[in-house]
Amino acid sequence: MIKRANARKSERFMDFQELVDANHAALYRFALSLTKSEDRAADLVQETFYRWAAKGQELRDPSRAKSWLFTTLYREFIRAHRHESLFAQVDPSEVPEGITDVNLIPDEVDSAAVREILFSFEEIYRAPLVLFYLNQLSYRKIAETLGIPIGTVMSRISRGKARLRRRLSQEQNCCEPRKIIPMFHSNKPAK
Amino acid sequence: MRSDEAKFILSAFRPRGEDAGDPQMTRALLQAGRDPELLRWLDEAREFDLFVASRLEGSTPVPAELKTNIMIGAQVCESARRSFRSFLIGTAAAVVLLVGSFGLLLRSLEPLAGWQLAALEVIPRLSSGQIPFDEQSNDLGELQDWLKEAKAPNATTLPLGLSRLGAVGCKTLSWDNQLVSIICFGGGKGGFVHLVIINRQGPPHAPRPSSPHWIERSGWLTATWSSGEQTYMLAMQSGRAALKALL
Repeated sequence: MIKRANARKSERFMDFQELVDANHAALYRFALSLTKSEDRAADLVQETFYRWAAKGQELRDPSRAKSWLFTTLYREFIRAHRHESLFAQVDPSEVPEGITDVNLIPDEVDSAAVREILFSFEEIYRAPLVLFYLNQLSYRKIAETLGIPIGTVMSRISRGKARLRRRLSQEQNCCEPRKIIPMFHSNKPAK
Repeated sequence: MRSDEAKFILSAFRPRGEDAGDPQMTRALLQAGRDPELLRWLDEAREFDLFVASRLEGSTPVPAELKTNIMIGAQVCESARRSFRSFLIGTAAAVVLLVGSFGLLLRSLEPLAGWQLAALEVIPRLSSGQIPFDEQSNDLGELQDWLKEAKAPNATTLPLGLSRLGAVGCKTLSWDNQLVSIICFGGGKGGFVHLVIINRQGPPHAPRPSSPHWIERSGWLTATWSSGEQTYMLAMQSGRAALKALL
C-alpha cells in the first residue's frame, strides 16, 4: 500500500513537472504583460502553480489544465489589483475602426520595441493580444480566461492589432523616416 | 459570410494554424479560399502575427530560476499542507476523545429507569435484613418456581457466571402497577449480587439493549440488558471487573 502511495505521489510529481515545463514560460510572459514587473510576474506564476498543486489536480479533464492556469493567473492578478481601474477608458479616435491591411513586415523593429509597444497598451487590449501572441490559447479560451464574451475578444484582438501596426509603423518611421512607406491603412468595408 | 466579417473572425486566427478546426474559423477560411483579396490579407496578417509572436518571445526571457522555484515552492507547500492535515487529524482525534470522555461523563449522569431506582432502594434493606425476602433458598430453582407461582417476572436465561453463585432469596415489589422481581446471590468476589427482572412489555421506556449497558450511580454499578421477554439489571457495589466476570 505504501509502495502504491509512493508511486502515485511520484506520478503526481512527474505530471506537475511536465505541466510546469510546458507552461511556465508562457504564463510568465502573460504575467509580465499584466504586471510589467519581473518580480511580480514571477510571484504570480509561482502562486498560480501552487494553487494548481493544491486544487488544480482535482480537475477531471487534464486538457483544461492550461486554460485553468491562465484563468487562475489572471484572476489572481485582478484580485491583487482590485483597487486599480482595470478597464481604462479608451479614446475611440485612437483606435482605427475596421480591419487594416498589412503590406510590409517591419523587420527593422527590434524585439524590445515590440514588447514595449505591446506592454504600453491598456489592459483591455494588452491581455487578449498577449494571450493571442503567446499562441497558447484559442480565442474561445482567451474569452474564458478573461471572463469576457467571444465577440469582445475578437474585437479587442482586431483593434489591438491595428493599434500595434500603427505604433510599429510610427516606430519605423521615426528611425528611418525616408525608407518606409506607410504600411497600414484603414480598409473599412464599403457600406 | 462577407469579407469584412471573415477578416474580423480571422483576426483571432492563430498564425500557426491551431484554430483551423474551429467551426467559425473554418467558415471564414472557406470564404478566404473563395476571395483572393481576403486570402492575400490573411497571408500578410499571419506573417505579421508570426513576426510579433517571435519578437515577443525573444524579448521576454524567462528567469532561469523560475522553474526551480516553482518546483521547490510546491514541495514546501505540499509539506505544509501535510503538516496542517496532520494537525487537523490530531485535532479531530482530540475532539473524538473529548467527546468520548464527555460521553462517559454523561453516562455516569444518565438516569436509571424508575423500576431500577425502586429496586436499588429495596436491595440494601433486604441485605441488611430490614425487610424480609419473599422466599429464601440457596436453590435457585426453588426461587424460580416461587416467582413462577407468584406470576412475577422470572429469569428464563441466566448469565453463566451468575448461575455458579449461590442464591440467597427473592423478593417482588410493585412499581407503577408492574411487578419487579429481585433475586439475591452471595459468594461472589464482590459480595452480594442482585438480579432485578421486569417484563419487557412493562414500562415503555425500559432500556432494551441486548448487550449490557453500564451505569454507575450512588455506589452501585449496574449492567442492564434484555433477553427474550425480560429486561434484567445486575447490580453490585464492587468494581466493574467483578461484575463483568459474572456476565
